Amino acid sequence: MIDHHSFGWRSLRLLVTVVAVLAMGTVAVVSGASAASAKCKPNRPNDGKAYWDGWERTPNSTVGGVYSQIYNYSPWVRDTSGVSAWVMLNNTSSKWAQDGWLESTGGVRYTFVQWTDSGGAAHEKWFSAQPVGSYSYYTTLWNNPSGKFSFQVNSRTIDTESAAFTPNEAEIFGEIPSLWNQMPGAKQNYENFQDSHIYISGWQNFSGTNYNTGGSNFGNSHVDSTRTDIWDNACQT
Amino acid sequence: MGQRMPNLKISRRLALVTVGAVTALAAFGATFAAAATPSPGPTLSSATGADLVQDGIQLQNPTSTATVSQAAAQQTALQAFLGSSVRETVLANFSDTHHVPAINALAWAVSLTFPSGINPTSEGPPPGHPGLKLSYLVVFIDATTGAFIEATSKG
Repeated sequence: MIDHHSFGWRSLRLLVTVVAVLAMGTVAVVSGASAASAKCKPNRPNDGKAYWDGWERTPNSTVGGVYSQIYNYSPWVRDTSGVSAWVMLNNTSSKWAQDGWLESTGGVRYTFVQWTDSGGAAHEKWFSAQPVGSYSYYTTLWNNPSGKFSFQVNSRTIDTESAAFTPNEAEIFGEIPSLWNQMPGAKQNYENFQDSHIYISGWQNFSGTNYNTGGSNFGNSHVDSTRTDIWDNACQT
Repeated sequence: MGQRMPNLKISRRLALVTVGAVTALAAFGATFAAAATPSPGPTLSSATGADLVQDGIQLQNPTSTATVSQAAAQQTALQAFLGSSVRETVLANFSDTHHVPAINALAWAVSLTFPSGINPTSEGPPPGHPGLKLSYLVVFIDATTGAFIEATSKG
C-alpha cells in the first residue's frame, strides 16, 4: 500500500532539499572559481624593478628548513613575466634555495624550485602546478638528506639538489618582476602564508618580520606567529 | 758473411710477423673500443651535458620512436613559455634522477630563448638580481603523450 498523498509530500520535500543543496553547491563553486581567478590589472607603469611582500626571519644561526601553507592564488601577470609566492632558505642575498608557485604569461602555472650552485649561478626547475584556489604546503630543507637541499610540496619530496651553502635566513614572500604585475592577493582576497614554521635546532613558529618593498602599492598583515597575509592595494577582490 | 744471410731472413720474417700482429691488434682494439664505448647521446649547443648532469638530467640516444611530432612538441613548449622562441630541439631518452621519484621518458628536449631583458623566473631574495639572464631554458615534452614533463634553466 502506497500513501500517494504522503509520497507526494516526501517527494516535494526531497525535491526542495535537492534543489537547495544543488543551489548551495553552485554558489560555492561559483564563489570558489571567482576567488581562484581573481585577476586584477593594477594599471601601474612598467618600471622593470622586482618587488617583494611577505616576511622574513634572520636568526643568525643555521636554519635547517622552512615551510608554509600557501594559497595558490592566480594573479594578473603581464606578458613574458612571472609572478610567484614561495618559501626560501638563504645566506645573504646571493645564495638561496626556494620553492613555491609561479604563474607566467597566459595563466600558465608551475611549481618551481630554484637554488644557487657553488659558482653563484641560479638553477631552476619547473614542474606541474598545484590547483588554483587550493592551499599547498611548500617546504625547503637543508642537509636533509646530508649535503642536499630538498624541496617538498604537501610534505612530499619532489626534488633534491646539492647544497652549496649553509643557510642562516628564511624568507616567505610574494614576488613580482615589475609594478605592471599584480602582487598575489587583493584587499578582500588575501594571499595567505599560514602555518609557517622555521627549523632552528627544531621546528618553531616562523615569527618573522614583515617586509614590503613596494610601499603603499601593497599591504600585509601579521596575523599571528605562524601567519602573514599580503595583498595588492590596487585590487579589491 | 755466409752466416749473416739466414739471420737477415729471420729478421725480415720476424719484422713482417710483428707488423702483422700489431696491425691485427690495432684493428681488433679499434673495433672493440667502438663496440664498448657508447656513442655520445643527443646534445644541445645551448646547454652542455655537464650543465644538465649537475641538475640530475641526462640525455641518451632514443631507443624508440616518437609518436608526437617535433613540431607539436615545440608548440607545447612555446605555449608553456609564451614570448619565447625555439633555439634547437633533440629527441632523447630523458632522465632526471634528482626528481623524486626519478623520471625516465622518451622526450623532446626543446631549448628556448627569450628576448633580451626578459626573465620568466624569481630573482631570488631582495634586493634581487636584475641582471640575472638565463643562459638556457630547456623544456622536456613527453614524446609519447605530448605532455609537459618539466623545464630546467640556469642563470
